[in-house]
Amino acid sequence: MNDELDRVLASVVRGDAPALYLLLDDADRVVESNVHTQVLFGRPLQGVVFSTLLATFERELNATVLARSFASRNINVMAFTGLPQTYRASFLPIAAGTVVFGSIDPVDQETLRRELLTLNQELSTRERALQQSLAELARLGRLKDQFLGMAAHDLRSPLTAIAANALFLQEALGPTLQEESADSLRGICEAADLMRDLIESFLDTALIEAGQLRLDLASVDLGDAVARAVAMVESLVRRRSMRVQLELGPGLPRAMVDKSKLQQVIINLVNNAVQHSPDGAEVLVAVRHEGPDVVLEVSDRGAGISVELMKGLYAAYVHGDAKRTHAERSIGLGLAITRMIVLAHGGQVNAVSAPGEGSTFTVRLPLR
Amino acid sequence: MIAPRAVEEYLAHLIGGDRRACRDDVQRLLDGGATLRELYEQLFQACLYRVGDRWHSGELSVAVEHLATLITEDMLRLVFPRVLEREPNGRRAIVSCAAEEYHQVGGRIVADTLEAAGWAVHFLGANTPADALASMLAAQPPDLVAISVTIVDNLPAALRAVRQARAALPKLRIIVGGQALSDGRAADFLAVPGVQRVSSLAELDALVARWEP
Repeated sequence: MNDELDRVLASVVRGDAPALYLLLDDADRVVESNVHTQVLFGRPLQGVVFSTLLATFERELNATVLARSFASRNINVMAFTGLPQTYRASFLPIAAGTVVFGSIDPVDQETLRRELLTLNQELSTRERALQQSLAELARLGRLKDQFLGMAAHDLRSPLTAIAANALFLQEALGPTLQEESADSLRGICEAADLMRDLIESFLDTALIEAGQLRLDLASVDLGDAVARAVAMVESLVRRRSMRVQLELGPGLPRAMVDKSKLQQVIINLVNNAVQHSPDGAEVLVAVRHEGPDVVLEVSDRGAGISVELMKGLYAAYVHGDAKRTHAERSIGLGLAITRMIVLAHGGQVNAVSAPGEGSTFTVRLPLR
Repeated sequence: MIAPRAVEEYLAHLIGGDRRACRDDVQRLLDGGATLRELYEQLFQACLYRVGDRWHSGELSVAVEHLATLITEDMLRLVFPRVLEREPNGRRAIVSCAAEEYHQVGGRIVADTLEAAGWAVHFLGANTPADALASMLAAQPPDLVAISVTIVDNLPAALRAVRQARAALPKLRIIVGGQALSDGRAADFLAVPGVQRVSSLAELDALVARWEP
């Protein structure tokens, strides 16, 4: 009966038993293996040296040596998946060599399986909640843009009336006013101008973020467009006893751009440079043709931008705290709008700066 | 309706554990205009049922069934942004599986179906103890709670959850669903006042539509 049982067991183990079975010769080379083992490694095993089937950190193991002491230990084999799998293996000496027989710890296996499934479920559930939050944030963002757009639009009309009436009074009564009253009236005009700029920025940002930025592309003389934009900021520059040096490179081509948006980019960058420069300083505006692009640079010798501030430089409603040198007020939309306009033209904007040494903003626009 | 051939191809990829091919299949169907309902019922649910049947008949191993479930969850993640393209209706639902119930795909599909109908759904996922559910209901009472149970052994836990939910909020709408409730096993649940059983997404739609203001 025992002989018969041995024969049956041997036949199962050497056949399709769900266990690791290897018969090795005296040189640790595989002579025989069962189906489970062949599937595990996914390649022919005949003649393969036992240690090469193991994880790298176990390559020094010698089955013949282990069998001399009838050792039983964990081994880590490299499965066809490329992942190690741990087997509790027995090393048994026989006349023909060594038998290696191993099995996977079912507790390990089941625990791992359960944990992986649970983790995946938790991940899936959390990701669902995250996707919900993202959608809600996007919805709130759209609401914010709508609100900004409507609020800015509604503020514009009364503000225009304030500015127009103040200007009328200034012109009508200017010569008769005492200095204090004239200053107050001038203050009203300046505040109305500033507020109009802020509202325009709000509207621009709201439109751009709502994906409603429409470019009115036309063939534009770049040199002329840039020079006119610089002229538009002359009064601001002069108020600060500053100077804008304009360098137009040779052979500037015409380009398909939205002229007013391009001028807005230049005005924003010059404004930014003026805000961060000391009184009397110079801002350089240079335009040149470079291969398939036109390159526009605005440089200042102001406070510069720290590495930390560089990261959020183009985010809307974020102020750099790089020192402003004057009492300019801003809500941090200029650079955000600049970047959006440049991107809409298929271009790029980069800033290079060192604290204390000023900044250079480079806009690169493809010539269409 | 999703073409039978597309379903067979997806099923073959699902059983083969080919997640990438499954994603391609689903993306192709989405791009081709398949509705969420078609994907949920004719693809995800139908194919998982077929995998389950073939597992029960001994043709497939449980590992294949697990892998098919994992891939299906990935597909649900893929289509969920589409689910969220809806107008919120201002109602809140909590969808949960019973304690020790590790089959969450059915509950997830119910949660997504409600979400697509405009509900804000908090999906608690697998294995939610009755106490945890009850305390969440008390903290933030929703308009509806749905409890899913797939395995018959988990029916007592699901019933406990339903009773605790009812005790916590006497007027709360409660629905129960899942394969464990078939063959007349829903009687104890339906004996709890105000509890309704839903056995298909169409039934869920019809029920929810009746609650519209």
